[in-house]
Amino acid sequence: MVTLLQTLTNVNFRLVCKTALEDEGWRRILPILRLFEKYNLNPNQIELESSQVYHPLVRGNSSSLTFTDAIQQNMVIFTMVFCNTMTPGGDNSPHAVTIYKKDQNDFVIKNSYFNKKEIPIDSRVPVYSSFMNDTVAFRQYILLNYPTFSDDNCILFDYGFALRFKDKVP
Amino acid sequence: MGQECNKNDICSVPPFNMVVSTNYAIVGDHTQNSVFVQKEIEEFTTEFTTRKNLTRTGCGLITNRVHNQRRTNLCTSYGGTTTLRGAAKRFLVTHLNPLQHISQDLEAVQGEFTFNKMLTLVTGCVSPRSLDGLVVNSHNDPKCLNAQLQIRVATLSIQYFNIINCLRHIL
Repeated sequence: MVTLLQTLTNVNFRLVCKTALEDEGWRRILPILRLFEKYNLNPNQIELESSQVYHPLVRGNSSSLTFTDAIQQNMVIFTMVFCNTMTPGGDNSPHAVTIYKKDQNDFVIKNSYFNKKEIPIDSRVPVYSSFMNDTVAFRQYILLNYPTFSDDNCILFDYGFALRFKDKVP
Repeated sequence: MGQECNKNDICSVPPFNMVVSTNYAIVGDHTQNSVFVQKEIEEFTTEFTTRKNLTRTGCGLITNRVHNQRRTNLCTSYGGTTTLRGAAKRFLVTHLNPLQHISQDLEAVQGEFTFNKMLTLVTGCVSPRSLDGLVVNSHNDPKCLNAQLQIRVATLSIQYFNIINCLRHIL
């Protein structure tokens, strides 16, 4: 989990921040620059901002956005999901995904596999930290409240990153 | 006559049937190569699907086409690219550009702004990942595929610079 979180954070920071040698990562993705230019926007006047956004069940800072807030502001969220949480000793390898919509109580995720293109996750299902704190209590709670929940169903990580382009302030 | 008899005997035997009580999660990587073959067949057949688009379309700020990472461990690169494209689309829409035109540009399979072109730059330049296991001489090798999860020392060093740079900016 730590490895993937580090990789996910790495991708996020490298897209947004400058390095000692290079411009911000997104500026090195030339098709994005050309897309902006095609619509008469000057990439030099644009910057990319990343915000850490939290699952509604997780308490972030008072000023921080939740997944729901970010989706309401038409942002997509880069985060992780975990499966096989109901079987003791199951493989809980994380998987990086993008949340793009809230459909009633479900967060809807765009996946990167054809055999499971979308993953709906109930926003009321406890998140990964709850699972890790007490796996037995987590499973009892899930069985009681979501009887059809199985190893195939995923749970969300506590937080994710929402990227937003904005005009540079002079 | 004898051969005919044998043939009849063989034909009378019911087809081979095996009840499998194990699943992929509990089979060790090194014990059941047949499981890998079956997995490969299942994954390979998904390539032939015509249903490559999302069924629940969103607010229009994400492209509908799903991109299959196959057996790679590059989910962060795929997810990051999708998120970046979503952010670009949102920004263009806020500048009163027509959503339909932007979607056409981003969804085009052979266009200038394709997902694959952006993904190549993310994995190759922005946040470099090992491509072991993806090239012909090591294709689908589990050891090589696992290497994609390992963050290279160079990447870590650059991330260190990133953080220092951000801190300088804040301070």
